[in-house]
Parts: sequence; structure tokens; C-alpha cells
Amino acid sequence: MTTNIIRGFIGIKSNDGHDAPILVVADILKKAGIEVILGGYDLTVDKFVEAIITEGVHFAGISSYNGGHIPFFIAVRDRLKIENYPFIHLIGGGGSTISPQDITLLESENGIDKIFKSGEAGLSVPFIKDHYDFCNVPDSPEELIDGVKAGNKLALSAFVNLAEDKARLDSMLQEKIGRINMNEGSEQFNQLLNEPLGANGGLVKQALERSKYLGNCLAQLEPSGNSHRSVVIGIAGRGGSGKSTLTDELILRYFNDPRTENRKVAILAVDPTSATSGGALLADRIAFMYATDKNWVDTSRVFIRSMASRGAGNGISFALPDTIKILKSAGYDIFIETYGTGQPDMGIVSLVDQAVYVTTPDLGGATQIAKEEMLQIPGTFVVLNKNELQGARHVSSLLQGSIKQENLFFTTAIEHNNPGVNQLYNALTRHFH
Amino acid sequence: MSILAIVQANEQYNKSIELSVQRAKTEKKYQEQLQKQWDRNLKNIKSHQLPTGLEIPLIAVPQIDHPAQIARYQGEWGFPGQFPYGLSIYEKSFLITDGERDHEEPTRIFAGLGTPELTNERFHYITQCQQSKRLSTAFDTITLLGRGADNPDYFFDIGEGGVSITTYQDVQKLYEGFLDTNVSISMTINGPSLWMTAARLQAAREAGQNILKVRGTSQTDPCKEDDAQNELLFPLDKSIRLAMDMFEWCARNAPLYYPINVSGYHIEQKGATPIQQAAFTLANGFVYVEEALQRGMSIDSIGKRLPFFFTSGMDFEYISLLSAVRRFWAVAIRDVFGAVDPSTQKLKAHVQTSGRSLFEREILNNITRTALELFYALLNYPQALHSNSYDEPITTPTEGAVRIATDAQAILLEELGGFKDMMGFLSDSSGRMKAYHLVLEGILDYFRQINEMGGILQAKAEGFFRDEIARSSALYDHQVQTGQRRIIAVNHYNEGRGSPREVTRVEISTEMKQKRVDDVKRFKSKRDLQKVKGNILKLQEIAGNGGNVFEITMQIVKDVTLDEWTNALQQVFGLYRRKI
Ligand SMILES: Nc1nc2c(ncn2[C@@H]2O[C@H](COP(=O)(O)OP(=O)(O)O)[C@@H](O)[C@H]2O)c(=O)[nH]1
Ligand SMILES: [Mg+2]
Repeated sequence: MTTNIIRGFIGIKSNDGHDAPILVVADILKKAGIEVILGGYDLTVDKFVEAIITEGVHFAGISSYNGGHIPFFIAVRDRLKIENYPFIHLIGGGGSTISPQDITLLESENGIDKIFKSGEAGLSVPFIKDHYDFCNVPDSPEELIDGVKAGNKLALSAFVNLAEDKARLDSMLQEKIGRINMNEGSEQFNQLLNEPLGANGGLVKQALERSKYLGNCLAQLEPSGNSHRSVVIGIAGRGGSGKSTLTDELILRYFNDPRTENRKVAILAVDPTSATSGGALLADRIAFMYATDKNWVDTSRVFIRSMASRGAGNGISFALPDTIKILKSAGYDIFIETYGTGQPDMGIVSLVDQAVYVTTPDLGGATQIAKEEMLQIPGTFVVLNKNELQGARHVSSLLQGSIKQENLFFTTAIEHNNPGVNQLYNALTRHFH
Repeated sequence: MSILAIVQANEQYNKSIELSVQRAKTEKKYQEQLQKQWDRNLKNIKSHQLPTGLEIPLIAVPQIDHPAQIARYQGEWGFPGQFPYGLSIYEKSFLITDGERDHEEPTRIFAGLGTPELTNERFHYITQCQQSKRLSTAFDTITLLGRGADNPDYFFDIGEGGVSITTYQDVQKLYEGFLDTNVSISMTINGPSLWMTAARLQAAREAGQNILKVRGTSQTDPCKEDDAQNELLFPLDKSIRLAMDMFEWCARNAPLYYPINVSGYHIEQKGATPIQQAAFTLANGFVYVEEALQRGMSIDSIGKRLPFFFTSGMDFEYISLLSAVRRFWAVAIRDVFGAVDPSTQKLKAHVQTSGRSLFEREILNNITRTALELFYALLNYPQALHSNSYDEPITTPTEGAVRIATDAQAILLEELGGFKDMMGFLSDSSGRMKAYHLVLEGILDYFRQINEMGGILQAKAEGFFRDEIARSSALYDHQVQTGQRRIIAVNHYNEGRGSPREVTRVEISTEMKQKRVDDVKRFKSKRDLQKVKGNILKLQEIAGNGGNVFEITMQIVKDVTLDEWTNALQQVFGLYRRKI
């Protein structure tokens, strides 16, 4: 099957903050229909490798400007080999500090697929499409099930890819078959089975088989053997309201909390798929500073996965329910960040133990508040973030009029040890028993 | 702080010029008074003989046909060294009379590569033919992020782009032979600036120098980091507090040292237009003024030790940018903050040519670009200058390229007829006047917007500066790509050029990196660890209870390494969140 969506991870190497090239590339890739996960700045070899594994990507791009690139590329490559990562496809760029000799050295002697010179960002799309258009779902997922149970991140990640693939097939099939509403076994149905699915996909019948098979694999996952229940928390709100930042701060508190000593936590960060290109820019990871830093948290107990909505219009991705199931069977607590468009992120509510809705002082007046559906659901935690900004007082008094005090929080997520975030964390942890 | 007051003071000042021009047109008595002043000023101007034998006045002054022109000239520019300092903060700069220069040469050359030992050698090489010794230090990013060279995660990055420093001993080696108080050392460092400055001051003390006389600059501009560079170690408000701890301490204990350098350069490099650079940098300057006032410092002790740092680039605005900035600042400092002492009103500035304007293609063209940017910079009479090396787009500057960059300054200042001969020989030209007004108006406009947003820190929290810079940066890139902005040999006249010239690059060898690791490890292992722990706890306690972090850093810097200092404080303050 070759209709698989290409996923890539790109980031800037350690001790480097030159972000211009990578932002350009991210935009180009997204517009070309690629799901690109933006890893941010200052990534050590460890961080690159961890992200590549948990994000389940087909390729990774390393941007470097400050120098030290040759040994860095080689170290990432070697580590991926050690970890048995199936797709060791590295590309790179970052500017003219990577000399022509360096490029030759990396490409022809060290197995780096391609280094793009400055001004060549546009060439990355044809290169990626020519080289990385393949399916990355393992052929025998059964073999992975033990790995998932053991919490092996590579197995978990492969399984999430599988769930995403199933969701993709299902929605294509839904579109093809669902609308006609025919009986299985009817002649019309049998005829349809031999029709092609999508532009360059296989036949409908193959997709059906595959989906059923993947469904069976997923069904074999059992609940984890943990004594505690996995807690699922959903964080919704508009883009830019501070969901990722809050999530990161909550994760930091999670690891400072003695009650979670034997627990692990996953972050599922959903961002929208571009309706025009089918690609996506998944950028939440940049804000996960503490959650990815071994000086602050035990990163071996963190699993971060960015997901594109892939056509689900309600703030989630169709693969989310299965992904939750996978992570639960590995015993993870889960923080889900949905992408915010205001009303439709309702999709999250039914999937979680606790829904949190993040808003900011520019929310607007009373009528706007009345229109926000998530504010109306009883029991939802409402967070007024960026509480230090102008206008916060006005909105907070409006919210106080309509939300129960125990469900209302005022936070400044960018402030260290912010009391409002502490309160939110404490309120969430009542689920940890 | 009232941004509104700053806006109003400048509007008022602009109006006052028009009023005084009007008066000079109609009031006889005022005319006489102006004329008398003018004549007095002219009488003081000496002349001298050029190498060609021509006799010329040392200062350029416009030809005046009517007293209203005097009112205009004095209000808009002021004589060199006079309010509002549009021409210059000093009466004379760059003049060479009877073969003698009457000011320190402004040249500062940025250097830093690999190890402290190697950088020290480079410093000796650069300064061997300079009369006055002024060093400028570039650190590698490990250092800029307050980390240790012995951290195995960062081995690749050791010494790349600048010198690697982790311990007090490293600082001693770096500046060996330059700790004498007649050498001015400038350090481009922000997040870890308190540690680095403390180490540098202690090194001077240990070399037998009196800290009261130590000269130099630390960049320490957290506001511009938040706008552009992103290299902060702690959240912005905490970083500002630390900067002010040092500012306050230095005012009392190292009065000749500049602990903060308000920097527009990085804002411009990130993509800001010249006007954005001017406006945002001034705004950042006012943040520090306000913070210092709140600590009970006097405006005189603040204004005198707050130098600025700007770019000079290829855009038209640069012919007057610094002049406009100086006037805007002086008016606010005098009329809002009540500074009567002229030396408080005078904005001192270091100017550097624009790295962003240099390109890899036909790389020697960068020499021409840099020379012209230097020329624009000099028209504004800055106090210090740095010219970029032509090879900067592709490498840490090589020795030969650095030499050419330094020579360019000397050629402009000592060879070319102009700066050495007549102060302000092009200063009040019509084109410069127009650019001056437009830049001033642009700055005012931004200040009006900042006022509406509720102040500078509020505007920053909302990401206003960053968004504005990002917008300009995208436009600039678009213009370069489409050729709307002509870059010779890059997007114009670029056909038929051979492959790029091979240029030597600075390589930091693995052995050199390993040496750094070994040195740091050795330093760390030789210490009394109990004492180190105690010092770290003391540091954290003072950071937590609001005491002066610089003071305690001075006490522990010989013993607590840079990475330990950073980690200890991050535990207290948290990490800085880069804005995206
Ligand atoms: N001023 C302010 N900015 C914040 C706060 N929380 C987050 N931000 C910033 O808002 C921007 C968007 O945050 P992010 O967490 O990515 O938002 P998301 O799109 O909802 O995930 C980032 O630049 C954050 O640093 C806050 O409490 N105050
Ligand atoms: Mg987000």
C-alpha cells in the first residue's frame, strides 16, 4: 500500500537556536502534504533519537548552523541503529556553515541521505517524495504486542502508527462504502470490492482486509497489569491559549509528585491537518521543555506523540481512541492536547476522565462566553491562562459568574511554580487514586 | 512607567522646534540672541591644515542666511556635543590634528575561538598594532547557555563559534595579559552574564587591579533576548532582576564598568527593519531605567552607565538611525526623567556592520558592503565600531579576514579625507535630515502603539515585538528571493559566475574539544566539594529571598562553575520559555 502519509521530524541541533531555515522547510513540507513534526531548538542526540522513535517518523531532518554538525549527524545515525529503528533516513541543512566538503563527507561516506544547501529548501519536497513514500506499518504487528505490554517505546510507537493507518483506511472506506449504505454480500457491494480506493491506494477489498486485520491486532491488546488505573486528561482550547505550555508544566509537577513514582505518562498532542494539502505542522513539542529534559523529569517514563487530525473535525484524530487504548495497555497516564478551534473540540470530552478548557483574557464578552460550548459542560475545568495580561480581570469576573469556583482556575503558565497551575495540578490529581 | 509621557515629551520637543523657528522669523530680540550664540559657537572653531596644504575648519557648520535657520539647526541637531545630540555626543571625534588623534580609536574586534588559550593568542595578535586595547569576546553557545564543556551531550559544540568557558580558571587564561585597567574588555554574553562578569572582575582583582577602575562592557540585555535571540537561562522577569542586581552592584563597586549593553543588533539580525530596531531597543532601554529607578538609583547614575549597541546596514535609514535614537533618548531622559546633567542625557553607542547583509556568493563583495556600512555608521558618530569579516556567512572569522575588517575602519578614519579632517562634514545634509525625521516619526509611532498595549512589558508578553520582527523578516526574505531587494551576485548579475570561492574555515579539532573537557574536569575534581555545595546553597537562598545575586556570585565565582551556577538558579527560577 503506498497511500501512507509521510511523517517527518525536524529539529535544530544542540546549542543552536537558528530557527529561520527550519521554519521555512516546515512550511514547505506541510504545504506538500507531509506531516511534519517540529522538534524545536537545542536538541541533543538523545532528544532527537527519542523523538524519532516515539513519533514513528519516516525521516528526520537536522538543522545546524553553529558548527559541530558532522559528528552530530553521525551520532544520531549510530544511535538509531543501536535502537533498531527501522527507518534511518536523515536529511539536513541549516546554512552555509556546512561546507561542500562536509556535505560530501556526510552524504557519500556516512549514510546521510541528503544535505540541502541554503536556498535549496524547495528541493526537499521532491527528494522526500521520491525516497520516503512507503508504508511504515510493520507486517506482523502481533510480534509487537509483547513489546507494547512491556512498555517498549519502539513497539508502542509502531502500534500507534498502525492505529493511525487503520483510522486512515477506515475513513477512506467510510467515504466509499458508507454513503451507499448497502448490504455486505450484495452484488453492488461485491462490485465495489474490486474498485480502487483513493488515488494511488489498493483495492477496496484489500483495504477492508487490512483494516479488519489491524482491528484484530488492536483487539488483542489487554488492559495493563498495573494496580492503578490509567488517568486520561484532555486539554482543549484555542491555538495559542497556552495548552502545550500548561501541559508541560503539569508534567513537571507530575514528576515532582511522590504519588506518581511508579507511574508513566504519555502526551498526545493533536494538531490540525491542512485541508488543502493534507499535510500538517505539528509544533506542540517545542513547548514541552521540561517533559523532554532529563535534568527535570525521568524521560524514560514519558512518551510523546504528535498526531495530525487527518480529517476529524472535532479537535481530535480518528486514531485517538485506539491510541489511548494502546497507551493504557502499556500502563500510561495520558495527557491529550487537542487543537483548538473554539467550539468543535468537544470530541475530547467523551474520551477523558477530566476535560480542561483553556482560555485567555482576549476571550471576549459575555455573549462570546455563552457561545463557547465547552464552557457549558458541567464538570469541565476552565482555565483562564495568561492571567497576567491586560483584560484578565474583566474576563475572570465574567467567568466567575458562570463557572463553579472549584472548576475555575487562573494561571500564568509561563511563570515558574505558578500558584494557579499548582492548583490545577492538585485538582487533577484527585483522579490518581 | 508612563510610555505616554515619553511620547508626549518627544511630541512636545518637536513642536518646540517649530515654535522657536517661528519666533526666529518674527521676534527681533530672539533673532539677535540666536545670532549672538551662533557667532560665539563659530568663533570657537579652530582650523587646521590638510596634507594637501588646504586650510579647513575642524567642525562643519551650515551657511546661515537667516536666524530661523539657526533655530532649526540647534533644535534639530545641536552643535556637536550639544543637546539633542543629533550630530554627536562629543564636540570632536575622529579628528586627526597635527598627526595626532584626539580620541581613542573606536575599533573593537570580536574574537573567540575554541579554547581560552587560543583566543588569548588571537587577542594578542589583534591588538599588537592597536594604540588603545579594546577586546570583544565571542563565546561558544554552550557557554552562552550557561552549560559546562564537560557535559557529554554537548561535546560536538565545544568551541564552535566562540570560546568555551566553564570555570574561573578559563576566564583567567582567556584574559591573561589584558587584565590591566587600561584595557577595555567587552563580553557578548547575556544569560550567564553575572557569572562571567563576576569572574572577569575577580580575575582583575587577583591580577592586582582595583575594581573601581576596571573598564569594559557585558551585554546582559535580557529584553532583547526575549525579542530575538532566545538565549535566556531564566524567565524574562527573573532575568531582568538579575541584570539589575549586577547593574546596582556595579554602580557602587565598579563604576567604570558597563554591566548592561542595550542591544538592537540582534533584533535587526532577526529581521527587524531599522525603525523597529531603533524603537524596540529604546523601549528596552527604558525598561532598565525604570527598574533601576525603582531600586532607588538616581537617573544620573543610571543614564551614565547604559550604553547601546546598534547595527549599521545597507538600508537608507542607517544614514541617520543612531542620530535619531540619540535625540529620542535625550529628550525623554531630560524631559521625562528630569536629568539635567548632559552626560546623563548622552546615549553612548557601539555600532556593528550587519551580518545579515553578507552573503556567501562572491564572498569578497562582503568587504565592499561592510566598508559602506561602516561609512554610514560613522556619519552618526558612534563611540565604538565593529566591522564584520567577509567570511562570516560561512565560518568563524579567519585571521586574514579579521585583519581586512579592522583595516577597513582605519582606512575610513585615517586615510580617507573626511572624518579625520572635519567633524560632521556631511552630518546635516538634506538626505540625512529627511531620514532623521522619518526614523524619529517611526519610533514615535511604535511608542504610541506600545502605550496603547499597556506598556513595554505587556507588549512583550503579548508577543508584539516578536510578531513585528517576524513580519519584517518574512518580507525581507521574500524581497531577496524575488529580487525586489537587489543583492549583487546573489539575485542580480548572478549569471556566469563560477562556483563559489573556496574559503578556509576555522576548524575546532576533536583534540581541542577533548582538552576542554579534561581541563574542566580537572578543575572540578580539585575543589573542596563540601564548600562548593555550601556556596551553591547560599546562592539559591539569596536568589529565593530576593537578595543581590551578583554580590553572592562575586563571592563564589572562583569556586562554583558556570554550569553549576546556572543549574542552581534554574532550580529556583525555572527555565526560560522561548517564544515561538
Ligand atoms: N504572556 C503569557 N504567555 C503565555 C502564557 N502561557 C503560554 N504563553 C505563550 O503563549 C504562546 C502559545 O503557547 P502554547 O502553549 O504553544 O499554546 P497552544 O497553542 O494553546 O498550545 C507561547 O509563546 C507561550 O510561551 C502565559 O501565561 N502568559
Ligand atoms: Mg499547542
